[in-house]
Amino acid sequence: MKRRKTLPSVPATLGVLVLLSVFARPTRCRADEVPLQSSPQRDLTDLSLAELMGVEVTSVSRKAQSISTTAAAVYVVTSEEIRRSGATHVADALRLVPGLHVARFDSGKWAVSSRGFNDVFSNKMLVLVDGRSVYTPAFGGVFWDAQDLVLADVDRIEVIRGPGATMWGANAVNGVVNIVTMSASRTQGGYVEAILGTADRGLGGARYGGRLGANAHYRAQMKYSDRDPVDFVSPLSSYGTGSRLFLAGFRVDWLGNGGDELVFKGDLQRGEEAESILDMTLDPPHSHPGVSRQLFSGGYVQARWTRYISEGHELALQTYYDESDRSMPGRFQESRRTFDVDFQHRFPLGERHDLMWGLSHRLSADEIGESALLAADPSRRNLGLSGAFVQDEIALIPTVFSLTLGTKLERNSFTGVEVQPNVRALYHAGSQSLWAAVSRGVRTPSRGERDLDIALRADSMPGGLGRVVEIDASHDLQSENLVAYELGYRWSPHQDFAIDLTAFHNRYSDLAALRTGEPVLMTNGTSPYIVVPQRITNGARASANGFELSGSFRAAPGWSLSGWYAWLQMEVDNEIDSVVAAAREGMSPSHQLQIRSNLEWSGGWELDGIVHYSSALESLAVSEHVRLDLRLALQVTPRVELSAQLSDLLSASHFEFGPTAFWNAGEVRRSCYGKIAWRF
Amino acid sequence: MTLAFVVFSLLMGTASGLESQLREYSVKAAFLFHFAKFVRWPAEADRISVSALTVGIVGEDPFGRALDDVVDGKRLRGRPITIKRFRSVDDLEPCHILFVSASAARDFDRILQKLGGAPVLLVGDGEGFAETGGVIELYTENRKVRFAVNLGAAERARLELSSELLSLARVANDRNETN
Repeated sequence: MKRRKTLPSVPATLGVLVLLSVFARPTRCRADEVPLQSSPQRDLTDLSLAELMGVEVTSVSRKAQSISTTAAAVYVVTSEEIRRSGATHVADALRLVPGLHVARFDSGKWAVSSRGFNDVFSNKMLVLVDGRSVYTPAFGGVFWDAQDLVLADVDRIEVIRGPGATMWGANAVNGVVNIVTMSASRTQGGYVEAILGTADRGLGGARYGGRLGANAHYRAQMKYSDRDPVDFVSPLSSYGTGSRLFLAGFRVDWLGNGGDELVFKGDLQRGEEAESILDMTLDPPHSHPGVSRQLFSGGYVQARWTRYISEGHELALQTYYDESDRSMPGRFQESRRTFDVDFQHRFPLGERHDLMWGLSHRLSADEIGESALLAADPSRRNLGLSGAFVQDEIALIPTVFSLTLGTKLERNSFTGVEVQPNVRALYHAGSQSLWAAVSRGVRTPSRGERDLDIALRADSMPGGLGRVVEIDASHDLQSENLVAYELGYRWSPHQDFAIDLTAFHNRYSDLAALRTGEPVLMTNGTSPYIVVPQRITNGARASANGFELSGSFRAAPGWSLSGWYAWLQMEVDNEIDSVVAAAREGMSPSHQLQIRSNLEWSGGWELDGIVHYSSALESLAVSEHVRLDLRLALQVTPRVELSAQLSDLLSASHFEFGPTAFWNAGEVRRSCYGKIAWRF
Repeated sequence: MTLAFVVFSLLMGTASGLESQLREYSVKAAFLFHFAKFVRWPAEADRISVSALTVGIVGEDPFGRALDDVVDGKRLRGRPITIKRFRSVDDLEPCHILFVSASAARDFDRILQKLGGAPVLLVGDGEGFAETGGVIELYTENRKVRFAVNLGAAERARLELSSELLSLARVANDRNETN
């Protein structure tokens, strides 16, 4: 395994830029800017109103306040953090979240998970965009290529590690990611961004927002990207190694006078990406690395109605229709139509109860095409998912101690009814809070596990006989279970300092595991070959322990530091195959450490850096790695921002993940880009 | 790693010359003080209070000590400034200036009801506050605090906003326009 540990020579351009920014002083200030002495005693009321409007503010307090009373391991990535991280795809923005393992797999795929079991189809995390689930029932996981967004329209990303709160339901076993976009009234006017770089080769995004009558706002947005961030260890192909993604969408927000709000949004996405696979044939050598492509297209329309009756009393009804088509020519083809309705009601009961309940129903109809390597039985299926949940937050001692009891009941097409209860307690005193939770989470079997026969790989046995390893549809696979015990502590003694510590003990049972059956001799008419069948059974157990410590600190005016450390210890007990068990333990790093620095100074300059250490993924032969990203930005006029991003400065290229069932990972290269963002 | 260290230590040297960046709510508290200077209340506002200029906060108080620090020891038109805090809309009484926190802003209609038509300068920083009927909405743009004014709401509250204030404001749309 290659280990690249040499430091690069400081690029001349970076050095010059840094020196310029340090020593250059603007000869005149912009008209509305006021240079202040850094004296904390200065009375703001001495400033005129116009001068006051030139003072820069940062809002750290609001975010800390809103999560201090949540009895869960929650982190909110703000739009400001996204902008300053230099991320160009929402999956990369998730790298900022404490404890999340985000690994770039190739130009259109990421492996994202929390607390273990990471994979390209990490089936234990639920991901939503504005409340719409983007978790695919085909393989149980997220196709991140289809989740690109104009990042400037993202208001925040809320991430809960651990079994999602009662509201989210099945498959939110190790966490929930909810990507929330800004309302149209906050994205008025025009916005254009363009990026040119080595990995993000060309990216262009545009958005325009306006009014629709007295009560409504709209926005329309589009984005095109051409990315090529990885190298494949395989022969070149006519497809290259990159991806091209295109999206176009809109959002309308209508605000009624009686506390009614209506949101209507839709999106179209299409794209294609190159992927590294093993081409299989029945002739020797039976498989060789190759490059293929994956194409997708799809879209959705979504509507949500919310009525605010009074403080703590609201109703919400949401519905969406989603269509998607995805194909890997010669190997896999799927068309899917999804319809979902979701109702939630929240109301106070007496002085101490905050009740919430809801009903939901989803129908997902698909057709999976047959190929030489894959067959679905049945080829068409309508998956139904109905759910109900109820949750009561009881203020046993108002503002000091609360207890939350909740449960979700869901009925799915494969395993019938699943119950997921949870209990949470929160103790809050001044600048500290302590919480604890016990929850049950369930991961339902995917269509892929239940209905698909897939040829995984082929090779030659000694003697020249071909051998194919195949996964057979496991028609009676049951759900995986998790019971999670969590503890958390938050402390914010000062407006400039906050820490958050969460610890967990997870017990998994009935985990999906591969059981290898007896080899069978088959013949292809002329040449015989061996088939090694594998089935998936609920034959594994695991336990995971770990903790996540995160903190943020304003070191000086204009300079803030934040970071996190996550430790994970996993033990998988596979009754059938101990080799496979060890492999799954090694798919998430035991240690991750991230430190971020955000610096800004007069003239509209920003310098941001992220250092991230990730320990080795032993079973995937991915060595430990330190990643350094730097970003330099300048607000040249109030409307135009220029920035330069340098990613992965410390190594020319490295693997972030290893081969999975269907694909080989690419090596992520060091890269840079220049960006211009213009508001009008 | 040495690269990062070199860059950061170079920039540390310039820390003392950096623009100081203050807590968002210290700045917003100063804005409230300026609004008090540039707004004229009708004579009937004396029914709210004759002896002092009252500033109220309804809902969760985001200011901490910032507002108390700003008004401490100051007088406007010969009167001291007092602060009143109302945890819920039920406890609300009219004040000269009422800051509506984001959590209470959803109950806007009930706030108007409770104020009973008194000439109150309603200020808030929730999204869409001015459009809903608040007089002044504070928002941040490019890390700086700005404000938008709903002229119709100011008129309905019989408040006179000085031209100096209006020249710096963005004009917000009024949902409740009658003409």
